[in-house]
Amino acid sequence: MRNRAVIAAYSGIDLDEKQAEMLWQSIETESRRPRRAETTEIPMPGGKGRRLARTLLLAAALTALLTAGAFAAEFFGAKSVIIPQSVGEQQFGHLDDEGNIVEEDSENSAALSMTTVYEGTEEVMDWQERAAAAMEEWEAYRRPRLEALRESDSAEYQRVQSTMGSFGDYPYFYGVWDDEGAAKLREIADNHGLKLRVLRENRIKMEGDSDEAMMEALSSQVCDGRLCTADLRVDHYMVYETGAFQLSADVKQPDGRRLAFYLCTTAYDEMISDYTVGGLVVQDFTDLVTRTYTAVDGTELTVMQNDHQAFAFAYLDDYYLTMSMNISAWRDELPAPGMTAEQINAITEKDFSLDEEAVNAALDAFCFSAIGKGGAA
Amino acid sequence: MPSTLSRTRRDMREIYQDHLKTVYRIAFTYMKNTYDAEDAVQETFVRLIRSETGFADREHEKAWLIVTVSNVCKDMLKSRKRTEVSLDEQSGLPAPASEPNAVLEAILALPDLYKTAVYLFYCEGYTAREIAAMLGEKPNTVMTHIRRARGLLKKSLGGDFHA
Repeated sequence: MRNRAVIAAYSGIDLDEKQAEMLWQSIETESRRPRRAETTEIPMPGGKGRRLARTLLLAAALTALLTAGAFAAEFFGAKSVIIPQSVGEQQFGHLDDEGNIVEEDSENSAALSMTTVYEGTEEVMDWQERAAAAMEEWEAYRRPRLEALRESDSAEYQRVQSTMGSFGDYPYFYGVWDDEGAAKLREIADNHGLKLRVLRENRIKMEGDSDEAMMEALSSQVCDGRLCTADLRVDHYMVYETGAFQLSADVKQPDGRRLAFYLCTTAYDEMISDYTVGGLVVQDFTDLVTRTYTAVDGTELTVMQNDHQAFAFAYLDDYYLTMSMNISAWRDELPAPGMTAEQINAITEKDFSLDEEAVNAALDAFCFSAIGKGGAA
Repeated sequence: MPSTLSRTRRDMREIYQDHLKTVYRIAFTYMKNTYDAEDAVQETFVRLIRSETGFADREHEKAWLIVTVSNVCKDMLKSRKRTEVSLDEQSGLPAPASEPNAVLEAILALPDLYKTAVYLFYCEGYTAREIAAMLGEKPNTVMTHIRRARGLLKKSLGGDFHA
């Protein structure tokens, strides 16, 4: 028996349709009842009674989110966009074809940020410096307030925990939780001549949504004409007030595999940090081959690629563009409710090799030069 | 402009359908019986409905549910101060499928500390780093938990478990 036995064992834990429906009905009924007290007093080690929020780990997660320099970022974003804190030794674990854990240490791991520019023109680097200074100032204001709130252990802190750092249309990497903080954040951004990355639309593909309609809706907001000429399978997109956007999608390859990508643009005057959108984790940056590529629309991109990952970036007129790429775990058939572990395994991609041709073809499908031209941007 | 992150009740049902299996499986590994697992699932989704939480994307949404259901379960276990019920006494165990329940029993017997990470690693395909980000742990801590859990599974299952 291999570790697949573990997966198979979990697959036996399931509710049938009737049970699931009954449970949903009870959830709906319960959610309409008046709220109960949200916390429970539980004595903690050390003899000091402490209010134990029901979400201890949530607090840990929130702390990670709200702590600049920690994971922050869109850390729950697309799986390929989770970032390490820095370049350095990291431990990687993954499952091999037999389902066994393979652990590897890498002294050369790195994260390629999707919003941070490593080299650029004087104007671009000036923006990066102002953004970094603004984020530092914001953190200096926000952290003590959060600490005081945490110490108060109040209902407000419980509310903040439950929002996971999201407040209104402010993305959670800012860690805003009230109007006072939001006003301060705006003030800091203004003082540094920056704009906030405030969400205009977050659209996750739902049943009934067509890829074409989603791409049309995105294109109409961020560019002149069509953003992409290829038929994409869209997962989600986000558009910000600055006209910046993020797109998670994949495109079918001639051999049936699908190339998944995460595309991100950042306006040159946005208040962002290294961790705003995360980055592409590269286990060993020494095997990345860097080249330049001029896409069909004339945009020159820098491409960094190994045999299974690629990261491209370009300086557009008004936006810094990044795009991470890898082969999707799924071809046309996606996992569906009710599938067994064996069925899911059967449709899971086995070949994740990525060559230059596939990357170039994906880049050629985009009209990068149209980004920021026309539309609602 | 209203927040596009706000959810309608119809959206909630879709979220429920999308993530029920994951949330239920995690709940079951903690609670070890159908009834308490369903309570934990109910509490988790009720919190979601009542909260004003907005999500950046589907992974964010899923991660919130995973973290929340794990905490709900731990809280239920602590607050009830319940004595562990032996597997034989439980009526809510899923019926054996093609695999004997020895593996499931071994999984359920793992320390709570390891359960969420083990499930996410083996069944959801998350890397240690992703799990660490989700749970607010260090990646090496997560790997240690998975490694120890694997050792316990090996010990429980003897020669049947090769990892």
